[in-house]
Amino acid sequence: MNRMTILGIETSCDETAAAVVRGSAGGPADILSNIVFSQFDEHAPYGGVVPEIAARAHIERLDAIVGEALSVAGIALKDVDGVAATAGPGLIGGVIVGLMTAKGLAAAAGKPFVPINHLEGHALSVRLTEAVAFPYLLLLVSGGHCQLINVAGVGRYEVLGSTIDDAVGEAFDKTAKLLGLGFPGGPAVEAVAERGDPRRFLLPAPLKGRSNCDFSFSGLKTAVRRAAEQAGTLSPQDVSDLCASFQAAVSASLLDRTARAFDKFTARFADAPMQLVVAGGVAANQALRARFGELCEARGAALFVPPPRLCTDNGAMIAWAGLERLSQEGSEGGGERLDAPPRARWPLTELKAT
Amino acid sequence: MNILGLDTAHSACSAALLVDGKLAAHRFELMRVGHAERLMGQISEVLEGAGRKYSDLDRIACTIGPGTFTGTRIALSAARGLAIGLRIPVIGVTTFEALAAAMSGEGVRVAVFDAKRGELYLQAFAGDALAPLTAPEALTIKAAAQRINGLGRDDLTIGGTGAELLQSALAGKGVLSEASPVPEARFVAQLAVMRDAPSSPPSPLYLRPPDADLPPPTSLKFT
Repeated sequence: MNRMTILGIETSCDETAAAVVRGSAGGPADILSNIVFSQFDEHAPYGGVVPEIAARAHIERLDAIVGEALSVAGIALKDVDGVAATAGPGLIGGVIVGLMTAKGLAAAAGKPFVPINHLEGHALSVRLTEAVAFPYLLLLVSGGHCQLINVAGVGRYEVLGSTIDDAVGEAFDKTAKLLGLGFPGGPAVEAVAERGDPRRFLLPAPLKGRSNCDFSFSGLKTAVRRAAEQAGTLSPQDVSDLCASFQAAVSASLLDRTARAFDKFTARFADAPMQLVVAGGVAANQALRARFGELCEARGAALFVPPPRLCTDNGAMIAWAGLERLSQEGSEGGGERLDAPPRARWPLTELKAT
Repeated sequence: MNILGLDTAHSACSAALLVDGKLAAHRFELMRVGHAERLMGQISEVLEGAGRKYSDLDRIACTIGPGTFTGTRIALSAARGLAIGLRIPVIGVTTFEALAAAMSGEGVRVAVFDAKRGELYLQAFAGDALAPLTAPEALTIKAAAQRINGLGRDDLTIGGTGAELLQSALAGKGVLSEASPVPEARFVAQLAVMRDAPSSPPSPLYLRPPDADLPPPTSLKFT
């Protein structure tokens, strides 16, 4: 199969990112560069991402990040076979900056432009580093998303369950904010939880035992607040115990929901081996990874978790999704999508195989 | 010299190609939404219309605001992307300059946009040379009228989406411009002919901070 070199751009939340990936469909591929600028300082005072602040930071930095991605890869723009960018879903102001910059780059270079669904980027990212065959079960856990999806092929996604309120990463951020641990909350809560007793506070594992595959984290957030208030003045150990208990409740919920999805996956793909992929920023959490390892061992399933730098938002996964799409379409299919709209909402189920 | 002009900062999307100082092709379409979908199509149409290719471009002129935050970034991001790929400079033009360039007369040209929330974006210029008489500002309607009255001039031409609002605050003083109340890329391109190319691409001119409230401090007590 033809090897291609793709430039990928990601600006849908608070990471300004560009990367160059070279390889052929199915993977694995070479990541020639993967430049990510995380806007921690910009959003930290607010305890969460402020959309307009994010968009302003993206436009100031993106062209330097693109330049760096090309120079680290040791190539010129004319050497790429296509330019891919996140077209949604995400914070629309930021999405527009990446989308329009990529359209400009593609038009200038006379190369195909490939608009990419951010969720598809996460869904396919595992194939960038390991040749995982379709189908697989995907648990996508990040600051903005929480879904269980059957990935049957490029553009072929069946959503088994989604969060009915907050995303799991959002729950980490809000817990961190409540306990004064700073932003982003995921790494902060995880670090503090290491020294804590997960059995100290009894917190609910949301939706555990339900027959569907949905998630809910809003009630857990309230339970953490109540437990914190009842504990009185909080010592560092109290905060650690709260974080450990919160993380244990999140794990229990995610594991229970994923175990349900195993059954649905097996019913849908009777002859396929059970494969679980966990992706998204929350998949960088080591305690969660360990728990998923245990679940998969017990169920005889193979577990794949992309390395942390490919779990959090990055340009490499967007370049990779662009490569998988472009190689499906062939040379005549891609390119003339310079009218692609930016989308704040864009469910995976609206995508099609090409 | 081939100059591509772009604007998406207000309720229009436009692209224009200037060849050796003369307008070779342009597109101007009023729209509230859809600039991000339409802009690249307009660019390829003006290039084709003038028998030019992307690689023939020498510079890009683009509005930098003030305008809608998101709209301003549409054309400016595309311009910056094109500039990297073509290795040519982007020249930033304010939407005030673009409006004033479309007006006529040797008197004072007042460029003013309705910024909503009871405010106007305002800047005044003198004559064809567009010498700035005031700085770019976001002002209440009353403060904007005071700023213009402070110039002590009666030969005012007022243009832009805030022209009527400002004129009534000025008790009917001045005449309303007949030019488009939103920027047009052909004037944006024209303004870039004589300017020096900057070494780095221009940033947006917002005139307003982002909407963001600091969270209340946590009610919990810590040791």
